[in-house]
Amino acid sequence: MHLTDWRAWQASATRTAHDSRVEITPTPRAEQVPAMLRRRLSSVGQACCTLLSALDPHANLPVIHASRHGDTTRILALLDAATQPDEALSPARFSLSVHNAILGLYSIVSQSHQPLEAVAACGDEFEAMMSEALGYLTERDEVIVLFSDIAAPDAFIHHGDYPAHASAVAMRLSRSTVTGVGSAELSASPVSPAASQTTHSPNAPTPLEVIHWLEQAEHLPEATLTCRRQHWQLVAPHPAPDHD
Amino acid sequence: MSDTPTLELELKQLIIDTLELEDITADDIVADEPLFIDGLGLDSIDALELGLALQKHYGITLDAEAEDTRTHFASLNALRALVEARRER
Repeated sequence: MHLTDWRAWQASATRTAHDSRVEITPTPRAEQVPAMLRRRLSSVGQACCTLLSALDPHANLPVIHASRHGDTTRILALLDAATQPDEALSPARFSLSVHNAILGLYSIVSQSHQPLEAVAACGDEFEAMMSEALGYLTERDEVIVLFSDIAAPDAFIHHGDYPAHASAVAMRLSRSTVTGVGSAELSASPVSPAASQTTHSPNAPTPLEVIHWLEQAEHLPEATLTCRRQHWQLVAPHPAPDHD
Repeated sequence: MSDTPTLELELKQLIIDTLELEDITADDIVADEPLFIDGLGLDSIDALELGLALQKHYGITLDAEAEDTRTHFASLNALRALVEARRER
């Protein structure tokens, strides 16, 4: 498959220089979403909607949204309320605490009638998302994958694998090369059982690692993201452009 | 009633805070215009949220299935009349 375009967001910078496709702001604002719907979106949700509308302005493509923790902050607030006597649970928060809430709001805003799918996979989100994408690409020419996560909520700061900053990355994938677009070839090769024991690469990549990989691929002829099962390789279409 | 303007403002602020209407001020809510769909543009989840807020702040319990609940939520004026008539705190 091929990567034809991508966009990303992170709440804070992780390097001195970032690609222009990465928006860095702690308060992303989805201006294209009407205010009455925007109020229902968290920061990550607003960033996700912005990335999707940049990659697919007419909402013509299926979207697979992977997130390890979803909007845990919202769910924790509900659980907190549930432990208080006489504290009723907020119906709005409840309705938005499901894993596909962001895609649900996105479908209303963009009037998308395409398949929209939410995935969580205990740290294997990237590979789960990509294998879903491969499934869609057997029937369709293009698909969008979106991978997001939040930073650790205070209650979980010493538990679980959260990215250092809230972040999201969206990639437009196609089955074949698209004419007129500089698409990179994306392939996977199995991680050998021996190597998976010794490798120090992050084999449960967060969106931040995926963004780093995409940025590397802009400068190098080849960039690899090692996951639990596969090495994911991006190969530049031509000799790497000079970015000095 | 002398506390009507105060109650009106209080209800507007309650709506704004409860429903997280980030871009709306009290002045944007017109007392006799519809709160739902055409007017302010609130939806069914907002209705549930607002019902909960009325219970919490004024001790008013509404039956979600009852026909007159719709009438109470028609406008800010209707909501104010409901609170004046049935508030327990």
